[in-house]
Parts: sequence; C-alpha cells; structure tokens
Amino acid sequence: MAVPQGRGRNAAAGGLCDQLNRLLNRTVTRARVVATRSGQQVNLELREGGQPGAVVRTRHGRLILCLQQRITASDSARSRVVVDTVRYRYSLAVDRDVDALLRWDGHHGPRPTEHPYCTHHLQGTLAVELPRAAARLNDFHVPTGHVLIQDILRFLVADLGVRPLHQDWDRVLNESASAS
Amino acid sequence: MTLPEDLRDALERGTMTEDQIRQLIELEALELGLDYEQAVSMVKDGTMPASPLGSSIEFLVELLAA
Repeated sequence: MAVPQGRGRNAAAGGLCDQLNRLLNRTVTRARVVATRSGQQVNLELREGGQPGAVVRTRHGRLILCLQQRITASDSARSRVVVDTVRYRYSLAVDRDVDALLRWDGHHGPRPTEHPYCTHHLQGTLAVELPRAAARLNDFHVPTGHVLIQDILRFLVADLGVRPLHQDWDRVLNESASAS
Repeated sequence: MTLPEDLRDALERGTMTEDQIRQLIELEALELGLDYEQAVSMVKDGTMPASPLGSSIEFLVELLAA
C-alpha cells in the first residue's frame, strides 16, 4: 500500500489498520486491530478487551483468532510512503495461554541463516498420522506461500462455520484480496 | 488479565511509549508464569510458546529490539 507522503508514516500505518478493521468487522469479529509503533516499525495486532486475539465461535466450539503483523513505513520515490508487511502470524487456539492449533507464519526478506525452513509455513498442535508414527503439525514447517488474512477469514467462515457478521462477506473478502 | 486504564487507552490510540510496551510485555508474561527477563530471553532463544499470549510477547519484544 502506498499513500501520499503528506499524510505521513503514522497515517499510512493507521490506514492499513483501518482497512484490516473494516475487513474483520464485516466478516468474523467486531474486535479491533491496534497499532503499536517503535521507530519505523509498527505492530498490528487483533485485541479484544485489551487481550491478544478475539473469540470466534466455530461449529467445533469457541476459538481464539490471533492476527499479528509487523510492518514498516518508509519514504520512497515520487513523494510516497510505502507500507510493507515484513512478518505476519495468524493463529487459532483454544485459549490465550495454550499453543495454537493452527499457526500460519510468514517472513519477507532474506531467510534467517540459522533456519533452513520455508519462510511461509503452517504449524500447530493438530495431530498428524504418518505411516510409522504419530506426529503433530508442530514437527514440520508445511510450506504455504504467502497467506493473506482474507484467506484465513474465508477459512473461518467456509470451513469452520463461523457465522459471518455481514451478508456480503464473500464479496468483501474477494474485493479485499484482489486489492492486496 | 486486566490492563490498567492508561495502558488500554494507549493501545487504542496506537501511541505506546517504550515503557508502556515493556509494561504490557511484563503483564502478559505474568499470565504465562514468567517475569520480564525470562520472557525476553525465551523470545531470543526461540522458545516462547506459540500461544496467543506468547505470540503477542514475541512481537512486542521484537518491536522493542528493532
């Protein structure tokens, strides 16, 4: 996302925050994403009642949806501020102090030399049956490619049965994903 | 976990001082039975649990270090 420089870096980060909130508030939760800034870096995090994550009611029971993004806002040519997502984590957990059942992680930029794994991957505590042993998703870094938050919200509605907050949720997700 | 009013206000505004970010890390670490130093150390070691609270702490610690 790029915005005119006159609006400044804080406004650019705030604009992205607003976009995420419009998306969330028309699909699965009325909780809001808040921005926390330090220098050029900004954390965007979904919070409810001050706590990380928001409750979503799935057909399998209550889960905590977490959304975290690290973004940078920097000046670029042609007097614009460019906002880049440098890291994201989306997860679903049964409670706030329990490891996530499913967790989508992604890093942009150079791969950390200490980790040979895919930089965009899926992990979690879900059990996996293998021919010789039982395992968990946490034992692997299942490659995913870049995952959009729109994909996670669609997964919540279409697969986990979360009741959408607005009847045009499908159009909202499609349009938002196309613009990403 | 109940956040102090000033911390909740700062979160809503999106304008937290470094001290407030540290305070938030400390409160969330307490929920996991950790103190601030232990939480920072676990994030640096890559051993912070991948729970909603652990993930929040991880991103906040990295933000302070950035």
